[in-house]
Amino acid sequence: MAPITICLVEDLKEVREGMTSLLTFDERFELLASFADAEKAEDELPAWEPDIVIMDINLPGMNGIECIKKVKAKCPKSQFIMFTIFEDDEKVFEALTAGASGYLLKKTPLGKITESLMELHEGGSPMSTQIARKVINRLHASHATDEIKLLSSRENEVLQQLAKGLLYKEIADKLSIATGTVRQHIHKIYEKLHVQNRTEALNKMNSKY
Amino acid sequence: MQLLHTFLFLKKAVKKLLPAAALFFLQPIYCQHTDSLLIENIYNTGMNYIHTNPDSFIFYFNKGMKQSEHSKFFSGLVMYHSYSAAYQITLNQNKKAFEHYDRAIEIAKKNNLSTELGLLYMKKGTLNQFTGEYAKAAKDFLAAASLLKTNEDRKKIIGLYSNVISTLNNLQQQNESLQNVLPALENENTNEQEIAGILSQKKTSETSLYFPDQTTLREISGGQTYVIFGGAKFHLADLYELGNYSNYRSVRKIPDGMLSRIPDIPHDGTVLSQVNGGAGVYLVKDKMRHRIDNPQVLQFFGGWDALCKVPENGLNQIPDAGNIVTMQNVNSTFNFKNEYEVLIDTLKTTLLQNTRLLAEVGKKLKEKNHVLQKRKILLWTSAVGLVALLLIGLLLVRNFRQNQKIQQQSLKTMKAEEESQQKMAVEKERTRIATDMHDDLGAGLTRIKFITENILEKTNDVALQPHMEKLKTSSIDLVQKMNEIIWAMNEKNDTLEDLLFYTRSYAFEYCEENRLACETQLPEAVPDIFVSGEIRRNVFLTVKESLHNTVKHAHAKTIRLHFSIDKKLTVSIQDDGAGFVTNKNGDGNGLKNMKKRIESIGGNFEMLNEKGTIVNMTVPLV
Repeated sequence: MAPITICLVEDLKEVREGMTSLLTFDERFELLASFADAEKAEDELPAWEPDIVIMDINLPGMNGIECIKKVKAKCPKSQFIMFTIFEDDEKVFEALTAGASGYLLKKTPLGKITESLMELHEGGSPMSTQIARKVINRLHASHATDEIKLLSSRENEVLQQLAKGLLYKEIADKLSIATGTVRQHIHKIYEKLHVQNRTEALNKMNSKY
Repeated sequence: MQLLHTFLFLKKAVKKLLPAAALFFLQPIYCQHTDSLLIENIYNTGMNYIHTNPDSFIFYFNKGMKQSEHSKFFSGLVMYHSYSAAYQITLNQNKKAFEHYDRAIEIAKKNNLSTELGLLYMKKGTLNQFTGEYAKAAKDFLAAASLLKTNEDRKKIIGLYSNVISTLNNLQQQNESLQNVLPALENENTNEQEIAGILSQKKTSETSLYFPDQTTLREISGGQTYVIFGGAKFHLADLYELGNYSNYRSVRKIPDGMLSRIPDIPHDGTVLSQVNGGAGVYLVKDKMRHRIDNPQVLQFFGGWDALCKVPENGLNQIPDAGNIVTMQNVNSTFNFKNEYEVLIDTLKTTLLQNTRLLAEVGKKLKEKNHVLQKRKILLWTSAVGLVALLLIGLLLVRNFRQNQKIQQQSLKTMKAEEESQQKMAVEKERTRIATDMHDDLGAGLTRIKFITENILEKTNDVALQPHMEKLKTSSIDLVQKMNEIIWAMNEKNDTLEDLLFYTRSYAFEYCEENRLACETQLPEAVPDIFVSGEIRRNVFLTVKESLHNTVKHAHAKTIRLHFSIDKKLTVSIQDDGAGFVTNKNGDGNGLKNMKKRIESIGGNFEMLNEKGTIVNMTVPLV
């Protein structure tokens, strides 16, 4: 199996180095490039076309969220995962609406970071239930019922459980499915509720090429 | 059809033109025989049209006049002018009537037609009297009296004189009345209506008109004409009737006022006093003639013979004609002349006085009206003013109240604004601290974490490893703690729901990390209640501390976390561990801390030993 190609956008040298050594020694991943600022990333990311872009939020010039907004349409194959110090749901929410699929906390032990990257690659949305609940509730509230109709019955069940504040494990137990599957459902719910932005992004891309 | 129309039209035209055509062909006959009777006939034909077709009347009279001139029949010319004057009177053209009379008088004088002249003076005098020229009227009457020879005619003159005299009397009475009006006007208390009544009486300048046919006509200043017969006064509306009276002696239209006083006579009938030479009173109605036998009616018309004489007692019924005595001979006429001459000076002074008084009354009336107007204006102004004042007062009171309200409200809003400003300032400061922590401290700690991880990976120094591990864990712990503080400070998380889910989520993850089973119980529905950062932080940290104690000291397998809401939030943490011992190894400090935290937000904290440890905290929700 071909390794998952990754690009990193991170201004802290130590973090970049840490991540580089983590990903270089793991054969499941291949780190294509790392950028210290969003401007450079914006220029070069489309050329690399990585599977995953690990994007820091706080960057010296343009922030990571802005960068996603600009580069997302040019990298249709890439998934973006936010790399953040705190579970600051406001910024995470902003990033997710901009097109990110999940987030990684920098405090996370290195071992767990690779787990999250794998989860993302397999169609999940790595984020805590606390954040997932809030994000989906807000998308839910801000979007018309048309999008809700797109959800499958299973996705609806997951959504309801999530709204009650249950954890992934609890939802998985309740619906007799694996925790990973719950994460995948959440990713799909999130995508579907987000369909407008996605469509817009695709439209933009099609008109450009 | 068209032929029929033409025929009918021609028939009509012929019918209309026939009399004129006949006259035209007859003209040479008149020229040859200066027959006065024929000329009179022409006039009489014209008279038939005086009411129905004035143009025909004029046509026949002009014919008659021309014929008279042609035949040198001067009586005919006089007759023409006399009738034309009468016609002009019916049209209210008095000036033209006078011209005709003057022309007639001129002709009569030239041709020594003394009887005609006398009658003309009488008629002119009557008109003078009618138009208010009493002096001229008296002069004309005197001239007439000297010319008229028959007793009958002299009686007429006497009647005319009596009218002039009665007019004078009227004027004198008017004067007196006017003099009475002045004090009435002076009197403040006099009712306005009373004054108006008096004035309307006084203003009435009545002129009596004694027509040659001995029917008395009167004009009252309002332009209404009255007929007096039998001593009663009746309204005559139509001026054409005036001509009617002067020419048709035997036919009388009974005016409304009279009929209302006579029983059994329909109000719109015409009474004939003489029909075909027979005596009696007849009523003509709907082209039917009815003889009137009612004694009251007959009594009314009793003194009224075929020649329409005014009976002696008839005049007595007219209040202002009481002094008039019917004279029997010519000399009496000159007695009237003397009486008139005595009166004429009085008349002049009276008229002068009248004018002056009228002016004075007018002025006084104006003043009075002005005063009344002023009073009215004052009254209205004060009324309007009062209402306006009342309204202004009400408005002011309302305004005052509104202002008070607005002031109170603005005070409130000012306070609220101040509070919100303070809040915003606090919020700003919080955000600043959060951002600083976020950006600088967070980045620094992350750096430490990654550096230690890097060192741990690269070094083989076993002695260094545990220290590096510790460094790494503390940096992660610090980030976690900061995360919690940021969460508590973020106002976006200030609902009860946030607190419960965050706390629960933490408990689960913490228990999982430490291999403890975690059971939680949440209320079915979490009400949407605001929970301040302070409360959230203290509750969360207390739960965290409690969980930490359980993991560290209790050696428990399961933790039960129970939340319930009922005006207060109750959190209960129960473990199946060894329980706790107070004041051992200084751990009491942690307990004290938890108690302090909960009490600082007005809650209750208790810790019980019962098959493990039970921690109960109750926090009031605002």
